[in-house]
Amino acid sequence: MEAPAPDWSGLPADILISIFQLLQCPDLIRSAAVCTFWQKVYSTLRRSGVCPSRQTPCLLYCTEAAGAKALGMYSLSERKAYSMPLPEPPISSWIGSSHGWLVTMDEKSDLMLLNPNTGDKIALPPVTAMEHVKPIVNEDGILEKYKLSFYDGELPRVEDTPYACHLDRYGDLVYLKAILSSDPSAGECTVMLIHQPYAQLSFAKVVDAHWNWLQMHSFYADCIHHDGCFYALTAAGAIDVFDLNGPSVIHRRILPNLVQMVQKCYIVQAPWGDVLQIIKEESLDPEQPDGETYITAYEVYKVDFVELKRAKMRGLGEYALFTGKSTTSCFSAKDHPGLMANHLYFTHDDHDELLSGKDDPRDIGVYDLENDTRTNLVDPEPWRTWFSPIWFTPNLAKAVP
Amino acid sequence: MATREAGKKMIMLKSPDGMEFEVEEAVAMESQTIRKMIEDDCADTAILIPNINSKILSRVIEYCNKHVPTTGATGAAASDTVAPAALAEDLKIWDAEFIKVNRATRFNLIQAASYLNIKGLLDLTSQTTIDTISDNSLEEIRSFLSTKNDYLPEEEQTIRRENQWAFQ
Repeated sequence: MEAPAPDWSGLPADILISIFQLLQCPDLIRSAAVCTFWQKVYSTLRRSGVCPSRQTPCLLYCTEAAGAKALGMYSLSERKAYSMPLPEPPISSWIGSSHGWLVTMDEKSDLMLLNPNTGDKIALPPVTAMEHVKPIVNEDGILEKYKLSFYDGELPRVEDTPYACHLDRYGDLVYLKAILSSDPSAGECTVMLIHQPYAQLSFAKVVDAHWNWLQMHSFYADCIHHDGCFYALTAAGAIDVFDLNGPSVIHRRILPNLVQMVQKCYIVQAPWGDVLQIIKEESLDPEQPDGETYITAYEVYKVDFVELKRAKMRGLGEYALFTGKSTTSCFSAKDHPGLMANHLYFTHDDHDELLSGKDDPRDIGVYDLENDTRTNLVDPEPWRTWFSPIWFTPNLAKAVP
Repeated sequence: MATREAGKKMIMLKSPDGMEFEVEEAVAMESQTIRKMIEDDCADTAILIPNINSKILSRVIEYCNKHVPTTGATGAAASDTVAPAALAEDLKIWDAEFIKVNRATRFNLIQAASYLNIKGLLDLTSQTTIDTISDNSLEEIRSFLSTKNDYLPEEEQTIRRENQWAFQ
């Protein structure tokens, strides 16, 4: 006869912590509700900052039915959609996602960090604290528009006519992508912003009052934080390193321009240490006679910082890539059983297309790097076109007040 | 008593219910806790393993026996002759069979793995628990793990309300 089953709520805390650390976020929330002891262990874990590290990315989106009140979260590990409330104040879009935090903007285009799972928020310096912006106020002193100037770091400065921009429209026009240095829950974080004009960089620490313009170069396509520095990739394949830890910025170009400007490229650090570049190419489909149908192809290159070149990779083995407005990332399908190895998960992130066609369908799916074929993530697709869906890796760490 | 048998050093492990198990030192050292005792020279006589009964201890030894890196008579690693991938696959199948035990045994195994600090066994037992929890509702988790719900009804309501979305 089987012995009476032991009560697992008596599992020692250290074992429970190691189990909790491996659970996906919805499973962890459910487990914490099992009994008061498990709830205590969960609270300790959230405060300790060593929250679950093995989260599988989800897709965040809004639906037509719920509008901007609720957020859909499609879990790739469970293949299941959740719906969670979007906290006040209302947001009008998102331009970045890393460490379980979104970089969102409001109706005045001011940026904020938001953890949609916990509702934690951190304000960032306002638009008026950006290099290329001057406020336009009415007779009552109320902010009406932003005056956007067009120049880069080259001297002597050549400046195009400034453009007076509506408060809510500014963000859509100017913000290309935002990347975080670390999990803001721990209290310290630097936000790197790729922005117009000329796809330049500005950064702000969460305690700063201003955005700091990096005037060295322009036409950045993507950026990651790696080894304590930001690695920014230009549309021509060059990589610049920015060390923002000291009193002044240290800038080094560690890889020269390698190609003609490409339409879209990404930089990612692979778990095995290499830095990779991903190139997205669109070309006319020769099998479609209309001359209007484009097919998309992705290629992955390993960067060689010694020989200053890059080498095309034949495949990614057990790994999967994630591209879009979220920080470009690479996950092992072995550690994340819901993912398909040697596939690239993409969201629509073409700035001009997102801007011009808010109602156009969004191209979101999975690209097989071996066979060069694409499939939809889910069918039918539940998301509306705006906000454009974004990859998101949940994080339940409690933010330091 | 530590003895020698066919050139292999043996270690005696004792369970609190009085059973003794003679195992190769290399097998016992799969446990980081026992390894530390041996390295600190605390293992001259039999090592008493508290809190782990003979039934569980024999299963733990069975696991360590299977997982100890094997060496042939010449001292060459067995993986020289068998492809490492095939070996790993074989171990995976063996592990899956090994962990097909009732909940009581699994509960004791996870505690034993933790106390004896045997990483592979702790990973295996933890993963089985994670599989039990994953994608299941709160009620199912409680039932599968026979955990007692000690919340007051209003307390549980509050907890659920905080993250209502995860309970859909």
